[in-house]
Amino acid sequence: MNEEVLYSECCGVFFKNPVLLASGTFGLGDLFPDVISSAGGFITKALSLNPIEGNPPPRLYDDRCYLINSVGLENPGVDYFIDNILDKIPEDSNLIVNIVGKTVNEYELVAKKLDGIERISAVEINLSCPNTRREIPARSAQLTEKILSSVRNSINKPIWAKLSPNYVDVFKITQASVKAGADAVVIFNTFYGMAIDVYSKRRILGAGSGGVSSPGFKPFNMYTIYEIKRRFDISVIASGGVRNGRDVLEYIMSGASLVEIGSINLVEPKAVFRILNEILELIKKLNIKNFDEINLED
Amino acid sequence: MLAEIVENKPINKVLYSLWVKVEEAYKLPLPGQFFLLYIDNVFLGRPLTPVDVSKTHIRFIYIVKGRGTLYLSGLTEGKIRIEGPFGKGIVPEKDKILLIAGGVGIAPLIYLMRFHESKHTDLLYGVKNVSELLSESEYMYYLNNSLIITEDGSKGKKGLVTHYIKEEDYDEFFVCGPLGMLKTIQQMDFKKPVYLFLEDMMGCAQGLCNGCAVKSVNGGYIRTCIKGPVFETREIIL
Ligand SMILES: Cc1cc2nc3c(=O)[nH]c(=O)nc-3n(C[C@H](O)[C@H](O)[C@H](O)COP(=O)(O)OP(=O)(O)OC[C@H]3O[C@@H](n4cnc5c(N)ncnc54)[C@H](O)[C@@H]3O)c2cc1C
Ligand SMILES: Cc1cc2nc3c(=O)[nH]c(=O)nc-3n(C[C@H](O)[C@H](O)[C@H](O)COP(=O)(O)O)c2cc1C
Repeated sequence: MNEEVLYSECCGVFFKNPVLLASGTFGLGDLFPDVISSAGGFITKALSLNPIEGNPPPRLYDDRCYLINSVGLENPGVDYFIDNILDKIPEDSNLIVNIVGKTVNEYELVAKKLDGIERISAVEINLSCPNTRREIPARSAQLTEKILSSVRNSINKPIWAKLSPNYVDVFKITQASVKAGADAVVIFNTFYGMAIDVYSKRRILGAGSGGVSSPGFKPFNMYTIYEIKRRFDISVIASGGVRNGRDVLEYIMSGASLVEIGSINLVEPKAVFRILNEILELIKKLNIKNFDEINLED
Repeated sequence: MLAEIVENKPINKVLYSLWVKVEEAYKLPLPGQFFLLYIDNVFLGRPLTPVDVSKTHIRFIYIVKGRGTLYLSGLTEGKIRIEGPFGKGIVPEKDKILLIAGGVGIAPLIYLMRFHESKHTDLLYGVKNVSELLSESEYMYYLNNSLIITEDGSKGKKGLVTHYIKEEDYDEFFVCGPLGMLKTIQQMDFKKPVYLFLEDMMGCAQGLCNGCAVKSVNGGYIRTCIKGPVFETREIIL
């Protein structure tokens, strides 16, 4: 969709609209080209230095109001992506690559492989995947700073730090991200969670636990974004619980520059069309001429 | 797409029959392909295979397994969102085929029979108890022979379907049922093609989320939704 009123900007990159397809909910980019073309940007599934097999099934559990996933970062590795997928991704939308590493060095190596690829608009550093056995890097300010600094020192593209809501002081982590030179923080990846089958008295997910996504987290994320914008000079990208155009506007009014849509893609792969139309209708009603105008009243 | 619930009622102790009327044109499914039904009390669509279709109607047969299907079984009217067909279908090619069904696993095999009507089709159909059997009138028309097997001997032969398979009589096998049954058949290591219909949980059903993983013999996981849900038994590790 190309409507001037939706034009957005983040870290010096132009987005034709503020709606992004969130990592892990839209594959590697070789499916639904029409949807990718319409979104402001597409974010790949997390890519690592070497292929990752992922977690044993079942990998999903749901309820009316939430989804738990424990895919476990399954991916074919960054080289496979560059050699076999990259060329299939539509070029009329921003491409953001989500990366993950087992060590600081791995993050750096993956990032370096992407830096020379012109059509990649930004790199989203996944510091927050809750469904592997490893500790979430974004729970430690020190580790966050280390990873982001090493990526910052080795690539020129904008870097987005995808943070975690799980048992952390997010303001300390944001501070570490700012200090390390991240261009934006993404608020938030999923929350820790698990599901139990009362009949067998067992945990249901193959990996035992996973990451919860839910519209119920949206108010928490909005408040966090609002507070980050109040305290720091850094761009914020929202992620969590978006179901419709109004949710997107609420995030923008909270201070987000861009908004990711994730789980909704799993039940409505063409949700982005509907959501963009809803945004357009709403901003027409509100008489908004462009997105920069959208500010909260005191 | 939206569909109108035309009929949704129990047909025995465990099985429900659901007829929906589809409100727009849709692609007719091949055997093995499935639809997702969006049920109000759960987020993800629930996969069901059609047993009968026309340009305007689809029929499903299902059991109440958990929260989604329980809720579904209580709906008698109104609209329901359905998407599909998804997955890769399979059409039997050989002359003599054997269908091996466990419980509600009969559903996709009934639909498959229609695509093999002019050739030889036999059925082995196992359930725990006679009260769970689908009436023979639902499928006999398409078959040459069928054998009913109940675990407790309450009808037909007693025992498990896997005891009654004669590999030498057939060119191809199509199997749908509980995981234990699929595993046993996989271990029997037939020389002829054996197609397993998987019925594990689905996510998006369109290759986006990697939620429906099954182990591949080539290492790693593959996506049941777009690579299956029907696999030749030598392709996957259950
Ligand atoms: C391609 C395909 C076709 C299908 N076709 C048919 C069909 O035609 N007819 C039919 O009846 N069914 C069919 N199924 C199965 C049907 O989709 C499931 O029974 C249904 O999705 C269950 O949903 P639910 O909400 O009722 O169960 P849920 O409440 O979601 O419970 C089932 C799921 O929860 C978890 N779970 C619950 N209990 C346990 C436990 N004790 N141990 C471990 N895990 C547990 C598992 O992840 C399990 O998959 C098909 C499935 C697939 C993939
Ligand atoms: C199935 C699934 C897979 C995901 N995989 C990733 C991933 O690989 N990397 C990542 O940074 N986030 C991943 N996420 C998190 C989403 O990108 C998103 O941040 C989160 O789900 C919250 O947004 P939502 O409420 O719109 O889903 C995944 C989420 C889901 C549901």
